[in-house]
Amino acid sequence: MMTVGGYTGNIAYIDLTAGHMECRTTSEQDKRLWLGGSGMGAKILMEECKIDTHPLSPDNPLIFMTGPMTGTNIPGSGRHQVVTKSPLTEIYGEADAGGKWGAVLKRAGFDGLVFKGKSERPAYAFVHEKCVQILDANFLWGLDNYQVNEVLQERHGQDIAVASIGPAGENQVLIATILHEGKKGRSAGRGGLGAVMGSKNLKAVVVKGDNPIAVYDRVALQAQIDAVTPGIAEKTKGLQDYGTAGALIGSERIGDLPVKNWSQGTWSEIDKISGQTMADSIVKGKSKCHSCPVSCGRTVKSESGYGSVDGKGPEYETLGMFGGACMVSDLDAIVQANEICNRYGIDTISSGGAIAFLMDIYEQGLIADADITDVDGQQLKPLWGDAKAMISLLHSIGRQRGIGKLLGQGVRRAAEAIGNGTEDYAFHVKGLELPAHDPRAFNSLALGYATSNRGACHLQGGSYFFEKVAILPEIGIMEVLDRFRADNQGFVQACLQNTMSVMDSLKLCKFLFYGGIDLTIITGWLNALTGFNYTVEEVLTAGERIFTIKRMFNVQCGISSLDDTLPRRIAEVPRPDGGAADNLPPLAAMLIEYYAARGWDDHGRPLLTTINRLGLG
Amino acid sequence: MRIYFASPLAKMIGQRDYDITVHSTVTVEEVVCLLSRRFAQTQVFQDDYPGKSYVPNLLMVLKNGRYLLKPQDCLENHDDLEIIPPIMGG
Repeated sequence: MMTVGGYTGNIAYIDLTAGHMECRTTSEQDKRLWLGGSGMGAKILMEECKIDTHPLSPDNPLIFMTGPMTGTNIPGSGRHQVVTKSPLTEIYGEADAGGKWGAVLKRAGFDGLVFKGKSERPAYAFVHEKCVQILDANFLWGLDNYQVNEVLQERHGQDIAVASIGPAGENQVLIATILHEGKKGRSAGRGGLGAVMGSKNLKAVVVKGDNPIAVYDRVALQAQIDAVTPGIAEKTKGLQDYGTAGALIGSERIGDLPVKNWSQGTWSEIDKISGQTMADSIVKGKSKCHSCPVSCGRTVKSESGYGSVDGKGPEYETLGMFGGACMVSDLDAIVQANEICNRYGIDTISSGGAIAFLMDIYEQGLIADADITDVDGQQLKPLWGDAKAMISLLHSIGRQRGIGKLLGQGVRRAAEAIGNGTEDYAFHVKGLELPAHDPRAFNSLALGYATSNRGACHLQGGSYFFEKVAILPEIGIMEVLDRFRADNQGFVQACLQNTMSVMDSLKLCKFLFYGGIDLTIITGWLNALTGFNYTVEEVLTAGERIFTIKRMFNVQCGISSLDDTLPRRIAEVPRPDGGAADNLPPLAAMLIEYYAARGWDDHGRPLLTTINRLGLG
Repeated sequence: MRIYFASPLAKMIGQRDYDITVHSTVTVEEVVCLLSRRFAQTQVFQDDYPGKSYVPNLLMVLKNGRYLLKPQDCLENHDDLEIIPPIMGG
């Protein structure tokens, strides 16, 4: 049997109830079919999670997976995936994080970790030299993510990498994150995965290792990398100069920003919180993931009445939600909000969406004043743009007090609990709050949000990349697409979702597409790394298989075409102004074409012929 | 043709808009080349120009407040343009 480069071949299954670990070897066939990362995670979830398993029960597996490229010197390969049944959406859940945690896990001897069961007492896992130890974490319980990282580095050394939950995860807040590397703020943010970790009494996963990663043909791989890295650097100059926040001004100008809880198409305050303003004021450096030629992260220093921050700065999504959706134009306040979310372990997208929802229904008079209380039980008046109220609400979410108990469950549950017509102001798909891109600015995003397997997600199709600056010849995108087009959306969306499934499985950063990287280049890397002889077509089929098994999981959870939808005010109410004024995406027509392109029936269920063609029968 | 500069380009250039007259159809690339010569002190244009082909992921061009343009898209004198700084990310 050949040695397949890029993988250790080992996945640890840890039973936290019994305190027992089993190491399973991944077959060559599974590597080839599922790639790793998201693909392997989805396969394991399908095998290990019964369909009636409650997401916060011990039986729900929490899966950390690297991809074959994680930790190599391939550009943009510093990523890993966390997969589980989401407590927020109660369907397939996954989130991706950058940094170095995944690279260190692989160097510790594992491609992935699968946690099941529940520790009797607070515990953390220490992963080192192909061994997983479960250790007491009583001394960590109650600490925030930054504190946990510091304490564990003191105990195990500076060369470890830590994945942890903060108080929000401990409290099983449904929008809790898993944070990686403390102050570096690398978040597996979406879907409430931190609550699953908290439900297992698992405070942290510490990885330590420096074993080399096998490469099939190191010379060929390096030559391929060297040939394209200068081009990535040149084409991503905007990201290098201003980080992801550099996109904010353009986003507002084209009607992409979720202004005032998705009701306005323009916002005159956008300059105050843009990446360009950040660069001129609070940015003190750049941060990057393992093996990244871009460095899109920002470190900031901010001193204000909201407190001091010296560390990770807010990304586009955070600024878009706390800024645009809540209309907070005070950059220092958003920096502080980002810090609070990192420390508690709260998703900035979902919490920003939840606070914007509250501001909206408060203005509409749909919630009683007495019901809006803060951490100390004091009444709050959450007016648009009120930075102090926003920060207070984040504390109440993290500590699960006052109105935060409701907001921490996400907007779907909050609206259901409040009633009174507030569902109309709760922007989510399948329970996951919309990220900071308005689908009325890109018709393809409407279809992507409606059909993404984890609920509203801009990255599972990434289609808007290809309607701004990027191309992808292998799936027929030879030039930047028209963002308002109605035709051929289904086929293109399916192809892009398959492509992004590949990226999530190999564990490559999707910003590589901004850098001119295409599927031919990626397939070349994959073959030189693993020793397989993939074609682009086979890689895309693997992506289709991966996307489809997630849909099959969701169908078993009760998802159908009825759930492939958009919030009413996105689907039916155009905005009066801005670069996407008056546009409503033709979702119904796009869905018909999409199901046909996918080989699914009219109810959104994969046909048996499709299932068999992909080897999923 | 009126060309607007989104912030912070306007601040860097020192003006919010700029008028040019074209007597026939021109491409986006030609207009941005013209701007790079007119505002030669502006670094963001120099990142693209001169002597380099138009790099659309450094600047984005919006026509009549709505249409994102590609380098070879054609423009008429009555069109309004907006030049927008980097759009990548998010």
